[in-house]
Amino acid sequence: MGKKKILAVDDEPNILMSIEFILEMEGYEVHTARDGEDALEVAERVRPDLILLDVNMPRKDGYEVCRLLRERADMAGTKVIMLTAKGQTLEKKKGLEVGADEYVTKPFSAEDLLEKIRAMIEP
Amino acid sequence: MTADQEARPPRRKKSLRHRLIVSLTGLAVLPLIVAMAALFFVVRDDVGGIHGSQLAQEAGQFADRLRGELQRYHQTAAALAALPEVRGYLSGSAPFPKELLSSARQSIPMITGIDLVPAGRPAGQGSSTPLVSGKNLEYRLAVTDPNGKPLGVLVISYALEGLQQLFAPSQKGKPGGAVLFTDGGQRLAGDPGIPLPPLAESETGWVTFGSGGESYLAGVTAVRAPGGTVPRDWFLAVVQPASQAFGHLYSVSRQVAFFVILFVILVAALAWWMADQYMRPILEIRRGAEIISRINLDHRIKVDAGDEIEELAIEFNLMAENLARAYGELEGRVREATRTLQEERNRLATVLRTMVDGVVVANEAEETILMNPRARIILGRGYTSGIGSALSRIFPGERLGFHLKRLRRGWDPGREAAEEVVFPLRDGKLLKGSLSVVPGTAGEQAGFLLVFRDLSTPTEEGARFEETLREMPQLLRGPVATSRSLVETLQRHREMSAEKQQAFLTALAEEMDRLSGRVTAMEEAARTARESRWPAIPSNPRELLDEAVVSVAGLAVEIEESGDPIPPVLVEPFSWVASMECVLEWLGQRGAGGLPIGANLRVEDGTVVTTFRVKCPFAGDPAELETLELSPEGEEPLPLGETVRKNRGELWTRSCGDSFEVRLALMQAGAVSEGRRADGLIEGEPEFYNFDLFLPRPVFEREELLNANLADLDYVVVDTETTGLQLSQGDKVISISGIRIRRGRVQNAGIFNTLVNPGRLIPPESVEIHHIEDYMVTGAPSMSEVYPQFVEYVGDAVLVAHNAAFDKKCLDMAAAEAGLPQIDNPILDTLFLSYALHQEIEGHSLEAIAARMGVTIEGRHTSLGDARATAHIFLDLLTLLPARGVRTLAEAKAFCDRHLLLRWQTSRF
Repeated sequence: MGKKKILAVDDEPNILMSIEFILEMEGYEVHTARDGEDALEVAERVRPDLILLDVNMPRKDGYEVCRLLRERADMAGTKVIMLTAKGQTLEKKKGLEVGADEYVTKPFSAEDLLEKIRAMIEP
Repeated sequence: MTADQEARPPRRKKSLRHRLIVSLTGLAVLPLIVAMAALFFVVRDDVGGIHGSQLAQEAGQFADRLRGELQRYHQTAAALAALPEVRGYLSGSAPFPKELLSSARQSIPMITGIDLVPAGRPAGQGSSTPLVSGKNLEYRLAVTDPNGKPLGVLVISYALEGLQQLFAPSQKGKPGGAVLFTDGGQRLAGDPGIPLPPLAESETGWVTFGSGGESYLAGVTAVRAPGGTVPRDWFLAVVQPASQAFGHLYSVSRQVAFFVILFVILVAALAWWMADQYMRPILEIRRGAEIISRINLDHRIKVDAGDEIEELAIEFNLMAENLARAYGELEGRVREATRTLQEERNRLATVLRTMVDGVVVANEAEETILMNPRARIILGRGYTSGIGSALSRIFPGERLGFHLKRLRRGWDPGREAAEEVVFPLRDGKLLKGSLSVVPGTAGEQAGFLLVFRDLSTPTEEGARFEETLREMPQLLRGPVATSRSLVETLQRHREMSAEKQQAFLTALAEEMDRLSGRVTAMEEAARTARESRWPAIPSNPRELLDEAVVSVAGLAVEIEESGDPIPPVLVEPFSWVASMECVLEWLGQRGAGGLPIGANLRVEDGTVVTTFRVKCPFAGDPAELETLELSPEGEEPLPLGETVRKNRGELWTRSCGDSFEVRLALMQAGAVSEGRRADGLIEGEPEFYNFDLFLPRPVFEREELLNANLADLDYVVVDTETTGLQLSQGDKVISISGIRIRRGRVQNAGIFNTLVNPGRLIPPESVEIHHIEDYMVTGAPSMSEVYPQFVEYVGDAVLVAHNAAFDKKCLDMAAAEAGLPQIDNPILDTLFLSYALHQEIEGHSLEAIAARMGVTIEGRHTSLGDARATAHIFLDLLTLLPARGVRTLAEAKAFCDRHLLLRWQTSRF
């Protein structure tokens, strides 16, 4: 069994860099995307086990991406964790409605994020 | 006065005039009638007595004649009985003496038969009383021999008809005459039509009796029948119908009665006239008293009867004078109280006007009766709309109902009750305030007070700051999250390559930059919010300039008058005056050096520019001006530039040739948008409405108009001035005015008044009356333009006019010209009403009535002046109507009609 694949999607390169580094250190195979369209394309190509999805992005926001992913039967097993700056419960609810499995509010601690990822997939 | 006006005098049950007429007539006529009646009866008795005695005498004469006749028969019979032939026949010794008997029979024509019946044969008995058989009277005489032995009976039959002839001359009218009858009521002789009188007590006498509805007089005498045993066997009566006996008396009496009736009528007429003489001063007093007590206390009763009634009038006038004095004092006190009230009201008005909260007062029926300017602005109501409309049309109805219900439920007289309310309006405004009960005089619930504030319109700067604040977490969260992540990674993975570490640190520095940039932006927003503009107040720029010039000591400032009107500006006055002082002082120090400073005000493009000019080249640094510090006592120092900007103003300098100018511009008050106005600029007074409106206003359907109480109706009093009085011959309206009366008050606010272009020349003789000349009406609208406006103005109100027929004709002609339907509102005419109320008084012209009622006409023969006078007269007349039982429009119209009819009828005599 190979490494578990994670797709991290965020429009801010710095945080993307940070997340990529941490996850790689944990032993995941990390792919990145900078916007919604990009994310769908990469997901199609690499078939990740888990997607870290930022909500606020140019060209298709996180909710839209998540909704589109969930429409596809071949990606039913893919876990989705939403990352957002919005902390309101309403946002969280909306995320879960479109099919996200988990929700992480920025700013988050690396340990929290890793724990949530580990609970879903083993590296 | 109000109590008097409402009191309704008891309805007159008796008329003094009628009583006077009846008593006077009675006094003159009754004794006459009694005397005549007595005389009549006395004369009638006398006439009766005379007639009766005559009849009795006549009866006596007839009776004597009858007795004589009967005596003759008796003697004849006795002579026959004594004859020896008769005795012989009866004793059987001689034959029947036929010749003897027949000769005896022929000697008396009335004898119809003589017979001799010997004793022992039937009917041979002698009898003392004659027997009446058929038309005959049978007389039997016993025949005896000389020794007294009865031999038989001599029977002689007389024809009763024969007796009749004895009374023949007694003709006493139909059915009168002589009659002979027995006491058994058997008629022996006489006309069968003659009624039989009752039997007289005495032998001879007269009686009156009635029979078959007629009354009769009769003279009666008793007669002894031939051979009778009692003297009253038969009665002889002479009967005469009373009508014949009294005929002459009656005809004379009829003539007398006719003259008596004529006399009564004459006396009654005289009594009427006398009653009128007595009544006139009394009525004068009554009418005067009515006017004094109800309309004009200064009216005086004029009676020159010279008697006690005049004294009464004088005393009454004295009473009125005292009353007027007392009333005057009362009025003074009321005026004082009103003045105090007015002051309070003005204070309240000022408070309401300047309140930063909106205030709405409503009556118990939830109709708005007061709205302060702020409320109007917040609610977006025009100056006139809003008053009188339902609260639920202004505020969200259901929410309002909820709060009102709670308020009503929880309200307890004598206790304060308020309800905190929040009203979101349709236009997005959010109002927060408190709703409370306005107690009435009796402690009841009289209305509601709503004080509110608009939460949704913060200042521009405040809004921007608030928005910045709201967005800030969003803006900060990203960089913070990234930084945290980067730092954590660095901490967790200290073993990472130096190259990687460098990348991470660079990223971190980038994030820190973003973070600080966003914090700076927030700071900027906060500063802008803090430095927001000052609330502006509309002020007169010229006054502010004067203020500044006066405060700057030791400087010669010449204000140039431009002559143009300078509109008010929006400014915080104190800081603005301080700014101008600062500029002047600066110019004084740096520039002029003793030269006068020119100042002027100009309107430029929605702004008012104040220019200060010195006529010398400027030596200082113009940029210095911005930074000059204003430091009023007790406040933080503020640079001049900022002070000007806080006042929404601008400051700049200009050098041209040898002069230097400093200019300060401010926004005109009128140029500020409505939204800006809500910041603190409020114009106008709160409208105070008649607080009677605390009572819910009744709403009338048009068909109910006629039965509505007169006091509750809306009226429009109309008056027109025309080029002349011949409307049908081309005279036209040149001015028309309408005045509204509502709830018994003249509404000075809503007056309709316009000149009208008659489309023809105004004759000079009519100009003399109304002083409206041709040039004045040339620019005026035509009547066909005015008419629809007037119809709209009148609405459903009842029209009132003096001599309404004329004004109605004017309006109808205008309707025809404009091609519109005629105005069909009910019309009341003050002329008719005055006629009907005071028909005894002469003079119902507008002047005469106005003088009587104590109404002064300001501007007689201007349509507005006349309409106003008519309105006041109408209101005065209205107070008199309830006493005449007139309360509704229908009754008022009937009242006018009734009295006009009366007047028309009297005018025919």
